[in-house]
Formats: sequence, C-alpha cells, structure tokens
Amino acid sequence: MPTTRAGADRRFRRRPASWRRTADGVVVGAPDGTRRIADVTGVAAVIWELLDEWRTTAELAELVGAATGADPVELAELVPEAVDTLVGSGLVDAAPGAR
Amino acid sequence: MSELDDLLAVVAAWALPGAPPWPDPEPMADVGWASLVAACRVHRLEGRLVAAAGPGGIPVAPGQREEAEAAHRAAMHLAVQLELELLEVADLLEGAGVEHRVLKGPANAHLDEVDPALRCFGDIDLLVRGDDFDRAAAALVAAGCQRRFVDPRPGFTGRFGKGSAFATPHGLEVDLHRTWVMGPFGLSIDLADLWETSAPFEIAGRRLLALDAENRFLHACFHTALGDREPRWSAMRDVAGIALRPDPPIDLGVVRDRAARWRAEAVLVRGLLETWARLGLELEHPLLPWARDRRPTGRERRALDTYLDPDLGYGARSLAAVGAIPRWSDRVDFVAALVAPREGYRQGRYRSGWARLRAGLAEALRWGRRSLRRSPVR
Repeated sequence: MPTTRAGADRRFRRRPASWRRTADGVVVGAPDGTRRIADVTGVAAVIWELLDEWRTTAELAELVGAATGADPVELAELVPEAVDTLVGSGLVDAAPGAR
Repeated sequence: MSELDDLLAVVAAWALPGAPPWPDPEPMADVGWASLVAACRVHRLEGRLVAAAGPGGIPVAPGQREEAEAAHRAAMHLAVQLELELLEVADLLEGAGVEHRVLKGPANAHLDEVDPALRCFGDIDLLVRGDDFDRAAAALVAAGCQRRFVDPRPGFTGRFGKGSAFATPHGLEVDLHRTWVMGPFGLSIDLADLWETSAPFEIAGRRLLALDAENRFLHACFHTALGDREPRWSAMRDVAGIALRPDPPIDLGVVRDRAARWRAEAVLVRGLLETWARLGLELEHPLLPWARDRRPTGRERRALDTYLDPDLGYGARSLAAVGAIPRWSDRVDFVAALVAPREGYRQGRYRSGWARLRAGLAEALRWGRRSLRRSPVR
C-alpha cells in the first residue's frame, strides 16, 4: 500500500484551470494566480483528463489501464506518483475519504 | 493564390466536409515544410496542422511532425496565457459594472470546435456597449494597460468607433470593441442585436458569455470579408466551421434577417464566397445559391471599396461612414472630430495636422472619383 499523499484513502480532482491538449500531454495554466504554465505529460496527462470528477488512485489506475493498456502492476506505482506531482504542483485538489 | 496558399487552404479546411485532399502523397522537403509551419504560425493554424499531419493526412518525413507539434505547444501556451488574461480583464470589467461579450478566439475555441486546442489565437477581443466604452477603457488603464491610440475627441470611440487596442502589463493584447469593424459596415450593425442573445461557456470554472452562434458566424464573415484585403485563413475556417456545424445548425433565416437589417448582405456574400472559393470546399451550402446570384448595390460596392481597394483606407472609409450615421447632428460631430481632432491624436501617425488632413482629403477624392466612374448596375 503506498504511503504517499496520494494514498488509497484520499480522493482527487483537478482544480478549475485554463488548459489545452497537445500532442504529448496537456498545457495547464496554474490556478493559483501566478500565471505559471505547466506542461503535463505522460501518465499525468491522462490522469489530468480523468480528474474532471473526484477519483481515488485505485479508480484512476483502473481507468488509465483501460485507456492505455498499461501493466496494472506498473500503474499501481506510477499513478500515485503522478497524482502526488499534480497535487504538489497545485493543479489537483485532494480530499480525505472514499466516496 | 500561391503554392503555399494552396497548402494553407488544405490545412485550414482540414476535417471539414468537402475539404480538398492534400495534393502530394510524398512528404515535403524540410525547407518547404519549415515554410508551411511558419505560415501556420502566422495564420494561427498550428492546431489544424498537427491534426492533419500523419497517417491518413499530410505525409510527413521524420522530424516534421515534431516541428509542427512544437509550434502547436507554443500556441497552446499562448492560448492559456491569453485566457488567464481574459479572466482578469473580465473581473476588471465586472468590477467597473461593464457587461461584455467574448469575441473570436476563445469563444470560437470553446463553442465551435470539437477540441479547443484546434483553434489558436493571438489576442483577446471583448465587446462592450458604446455607453460603457470609456468606463471599460479607464478600468483597463487603471490596471496598468496602455491604450494604443487615443480618441480624436473624448467619447468618439464609444459613439462611432470600432474600438481600441490595449497592451497589458503582461505583454499581451486586449482589444475592446464597440462594433466589429470601423467605417460604414461597422456603423450600420444594429448593436442591440449583439446583446439580445448570448452563448455561455466556461474557462477555469468561470462562466463567460459569447455571441450567439448566428452572430459568431456573421462576425466571422465580417472578419473574412473586411478584416484584411487578403482574408485570414483562421477567419475563413470559422465561417465554414460554423456554417457547416451539424448539431445544432445555425438558423440561416436569422442570419439573413440580421444581415439585411444591418445593410450588410454584401459582407455576408463576400465572406461566404471567399471562404468557399479559397478553402476549395466542394460541399454545397444552402446559402451559396443566394450568395452567387446576389449582386452588390451601388452603395454596398462603394462601401466595400473603402475596405478592399489598396489605394483607399482610413480617409475614404471615414467619409463613407458619414452616410451610415442616422442623425445629422451625429454626422456633424463625427466629421468635426476627424477634421479637427484634439492635440496628441495624430502623434505617431502623421507629421502634422495639415499632412493628415491632406492625406484624408486625397483619399476621399480618389474614392469619390472611383465611385462616380462605377456604374451602379454593373
């Protein structure tokens, strides 16, 4: 069980932001008033698209797997890491508890 | 059209029904490809190029798709920056009690595209009411924006002008519009029609209002027909994209009715015909038979000349605008403001007041002579 902020007991949702798809991910305007623009790539970009509603990392791993065909064992590690990065960048909100 | 224009047309029309195919099954040489990517940057077509480049579309050599993707990524950075600016300006205007409508780029991106990333843009355009124009301009200036040109006399833009451009402290451009174009066609739009309806969309969870679909279509026609002597590819794509959207389709009766009441049918015709001809669209549209049959009236032809004739410009367009101002007292104010503007107006534009007046008169005479030579039934 991961011990990161993106543990299975938390839910996540992207913060309202101006953003666009690009060939290798998404470009997101940080919703913190800094005017910072973040390039989100790889699995984090897939997660960004899925976080239009509150989801747990387990739900995300399942959805990312279905969308990309990636190995579930690998995703169990990659998804929480990517979610941690998105939360740390201020692009994604975290809330306690499952739905 | 040049060879590059032919390629830009294919890119601009990409994924539209009836759009022309890419002309060559082999990838372009790198030099040609670099020119195409550069031209797509200028014409804000980076999103279409990336959508088109690759299997089943434009054939690309190794590295070429990556070049297009890099250009698109830069365009998306700009689009997001501009939308952040838009949100700030929208807050500013609302704080000043100024209602507004988002025009062009962001509105088209969110309302008229399957993916906003397809529609690139380089500035923010907002419509405000004439009565609010000075208050809106003051709010932007108070927030550190620099107005590019001052009014010839106080209140002129709010009564007669197209609008004004502002440079923001972040190095971006915001254009405040009272109407869509300067001159006779801008003055004959019934501006109440632009405010009566609206279309909502969201950026970063914030609700904004744009024009309704019929007005977005008419605006794209104005931009195509009158914006530049060579119509802009992105504007033509907007015309075709909105005209051909299936669900829900635009109400062509409303479009025709508004164009007729605004005495702008010639603009609608030119916008449509230029778009279909230059994009090479093979699909027929219900408005095209009417557009092909309709001949501009003498008044329309004279007014169009002031936008399209390379020897005519601001002076001729201003003279033509006089006839589009309904009240005589307003016509007097309009002419007086342009003949004798306040100090500082001509700064950076003309050497002296006399030079400005002489240039304007010469243009007006040229326009008058050409109008007289034309047969009104040609």
